[in-house]
Amino acid sequence: MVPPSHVAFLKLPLSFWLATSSLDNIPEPIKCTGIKFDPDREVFTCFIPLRFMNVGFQHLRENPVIALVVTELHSFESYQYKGNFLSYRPCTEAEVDFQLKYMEEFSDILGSFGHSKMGLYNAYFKYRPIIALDFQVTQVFDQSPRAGTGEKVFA
Amino acid sequence: MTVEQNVHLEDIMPALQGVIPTIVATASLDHTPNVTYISQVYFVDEHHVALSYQFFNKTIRNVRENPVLTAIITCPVHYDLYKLLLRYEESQTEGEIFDAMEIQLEALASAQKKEGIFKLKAADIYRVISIEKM
Repeated sequence: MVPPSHVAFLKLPLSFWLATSSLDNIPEPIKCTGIKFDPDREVFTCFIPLRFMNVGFQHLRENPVIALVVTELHSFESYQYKGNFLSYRPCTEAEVDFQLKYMEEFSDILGSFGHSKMGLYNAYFKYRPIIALDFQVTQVFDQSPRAGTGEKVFA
Repeated sequence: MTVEQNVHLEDIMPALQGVIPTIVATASLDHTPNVTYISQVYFVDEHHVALSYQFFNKTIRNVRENPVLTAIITCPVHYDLYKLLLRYEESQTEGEIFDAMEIQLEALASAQKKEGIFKLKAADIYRVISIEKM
């Protein structure tokens, strides 16, 4: 379902945001501080500071559906992956190191837009602990900003 | 729905200038979330903002069936994050708000060399239900 070309794209220093919804349809955006994608199982592991998950956990207890948007900030190439929550656990030390490397690269991109690298770094990336949340992809959408955006992507 | 107003729109004006794109999440009636960037959150009055409607996409379809939207805006001065819970009220395709947003959007598009892509279809007006500093 996830096109093979996405596997390399998802390793770039992209912007990552999740969203959940309650059963009364209140949506919640959640900042990720990195992701990993397993193409064999079509499972995303999303790294999220625990303090950003208060509402998200409430939602996932009643509704397992998750959306993840990934965006390349210079080109605006963007995809949305929807699926179902599987599990979460604390990050390993190796995963924290992985996020720090991602954060450095992503902060450089933010800095290229004239933003304070450390300002945005601290806004998103200074919080601990961080969890690793897994979800199974069921649908993929092209969300790049142009006419026809939102179309489902087929492998 | 809980209504809380710890922060007022007037307090976060720098975050409403479109310097840092806003993240918005919506949900369809079958509880499926959607999340995307939008270009503009425009201050209308102390209880309302307008969001730029540029493409007929999932965000617009969701909001037309479920009028609640959650936005994360970022102050470009102090990099504080704010979560806004909004309720859709109406769509405007002309008038003072639409014209002002169109001018601002053209400026943003020009700065990002994306002219032609950032075409404003409507200014969607939302009532602010709550603002929370994250």
